[in-house]
Amino acid sequence: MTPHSWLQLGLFLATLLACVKPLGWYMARVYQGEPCGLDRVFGWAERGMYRLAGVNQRDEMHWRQYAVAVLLFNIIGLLAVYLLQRTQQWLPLNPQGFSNVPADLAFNTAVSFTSNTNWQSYSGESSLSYLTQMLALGVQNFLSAATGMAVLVALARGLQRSTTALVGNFWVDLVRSTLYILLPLSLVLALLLVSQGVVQNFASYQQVTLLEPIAGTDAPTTTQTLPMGPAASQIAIKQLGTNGGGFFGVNSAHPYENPTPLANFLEVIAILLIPAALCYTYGTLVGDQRQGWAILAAMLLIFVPLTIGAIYAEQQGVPAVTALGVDQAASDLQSGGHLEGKEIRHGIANSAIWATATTAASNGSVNAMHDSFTPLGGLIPLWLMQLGEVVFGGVGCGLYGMVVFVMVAVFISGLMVGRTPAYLGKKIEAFEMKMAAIVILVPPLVVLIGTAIAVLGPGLTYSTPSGLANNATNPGPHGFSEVLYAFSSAGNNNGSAFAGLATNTPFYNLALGIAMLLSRYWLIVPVLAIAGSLAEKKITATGAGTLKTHTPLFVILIVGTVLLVGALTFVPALALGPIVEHLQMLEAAR
Amino acid sequence: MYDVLFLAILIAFFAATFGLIHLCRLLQGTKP
Repeated sequence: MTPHSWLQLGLFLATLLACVKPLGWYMARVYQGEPCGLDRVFGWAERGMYRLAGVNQRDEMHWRQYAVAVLLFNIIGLLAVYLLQRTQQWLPLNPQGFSNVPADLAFNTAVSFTSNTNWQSYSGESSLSYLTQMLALGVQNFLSAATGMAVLVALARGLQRSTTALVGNFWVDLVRSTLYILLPLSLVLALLLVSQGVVQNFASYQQVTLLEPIAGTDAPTTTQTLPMGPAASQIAIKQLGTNGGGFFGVNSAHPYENPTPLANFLEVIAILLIPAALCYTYGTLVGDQRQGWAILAAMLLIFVPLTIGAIYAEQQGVPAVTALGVDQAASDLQSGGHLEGKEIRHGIANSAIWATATTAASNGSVNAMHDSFTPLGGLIPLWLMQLGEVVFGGVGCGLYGMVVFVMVAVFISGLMVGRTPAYLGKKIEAFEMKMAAIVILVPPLVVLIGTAIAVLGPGLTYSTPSGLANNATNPGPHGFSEVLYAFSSAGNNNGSAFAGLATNTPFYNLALGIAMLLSRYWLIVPVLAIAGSLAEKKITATGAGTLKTHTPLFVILIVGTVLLVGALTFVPALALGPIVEHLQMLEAAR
Repeated sequence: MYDVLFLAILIAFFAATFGLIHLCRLLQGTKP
């Protein structure tokens, strides 16, 4: 790693950690219903929405009512996104005259944005109207993120309360997350991005004449089409809400999405901002700050070494290129390293930091093409997703996933010392473990079974007017990695793509859509069931024999639990993909 | 035609998810 890489990583982590406490404190006040400042500005809107919807904010819900509210709200959102895509050619704000989105692609995209995955089998600038981008995708960017945050808050209430069946009111948590947290942060970030040159308009695409024609196999290219649109407002929430769906096809590698070093820095900070700060919020909500810090420490212990590993792997370059006499070493004249698929202006460090941040969080936006990373550099983002999106993870959903891992760690340590496991004074019993097993097992099942079905045949080729075409653009282990990456991304609600796989086919649109549905809603239900079960339990007094869940030892136990589950589940699949590819790369250079 | 197929998939999925809520409720009521 170069000094520049260390500096970039240090600056990124320092800025992120500096924001954790103030934002976490603010979000805790929002969820506790205490004055937060913005309630004076938006309080009328909040009260107006409750009145309009007939919601009494003091009416709390049983976990089952909470789960039903989450599901009904998401079903309506999903159908709305689907319908908007299927009718966009007859609706306004469509200056390019895009036709309706095909049914399978509309299904995939609707599920993708409602489930906070934001997997994109489409290219925004060539298939979606401005109305669809804003009203369907932009709105779901807010609401899917707010849904995850609401479920986390319900789980925290379950841990903090005792002898009650109530875990809060979903509608109140949803409105507060959106109105007081996501909207204001997005407004500020969108304005900052506009100041950096990110486009924000309703203009039709611009045709410009090139200063220098580009010579090609046919006639030289003399003009270029510049895509326009309300990009900044969508990019702000796509980062903050760990959504990740880019306004343009190549996401944040596009100069209109990510034009300057400052824009890049702001966007990558925004990916982890809320997930990191929610750890502090969680500590406040459960009444013990140390619990939040312990979870944040566990996340950092996994994230930082893997980020360093990704930067190192990319900085090393590729032996086959070195064998051609190409100098890949960093020097005063060049950044060095493996630059295929990366923007030169971002370089190695900013591409690798983004790749790990976006896959640690379930964001999925990219500023470099992960398909072109070195085998080990690509393995790290892939594995970060496969860990279950709990290392920061999505807003809300990452932390509730991590709390489930914490409960598993508590349960294992309880078994080891022969005591009844308890977390924050709540006994962790068979029911919580059954629910935790569902939360932990559903994503790997979806990923591994989905990948297996795809590589058995249905995901290898697809029909075109001129015959069968290959889905994967590469043969062998790299092609397998592309399929595994797609299912790991959808099956953990990440949304980033390896970019080398043609996924806008009926098979992938359907299979990945089902994967996203399962890994989102079949995790929310058991998490809320845990919340309801814990809320009913008494808080037992801690004694000398109680396992302390804020110590460095317990942090290591959490890390071990997460890594072991991830390693044991996915190492065989990884061995068939990036690990074999790495060995082949070394062998070819001998 | 495909619209109906995807609608059917969504109905089946969310029906199963409501079933999962019910299953969790049953498990919660089961004491070892």
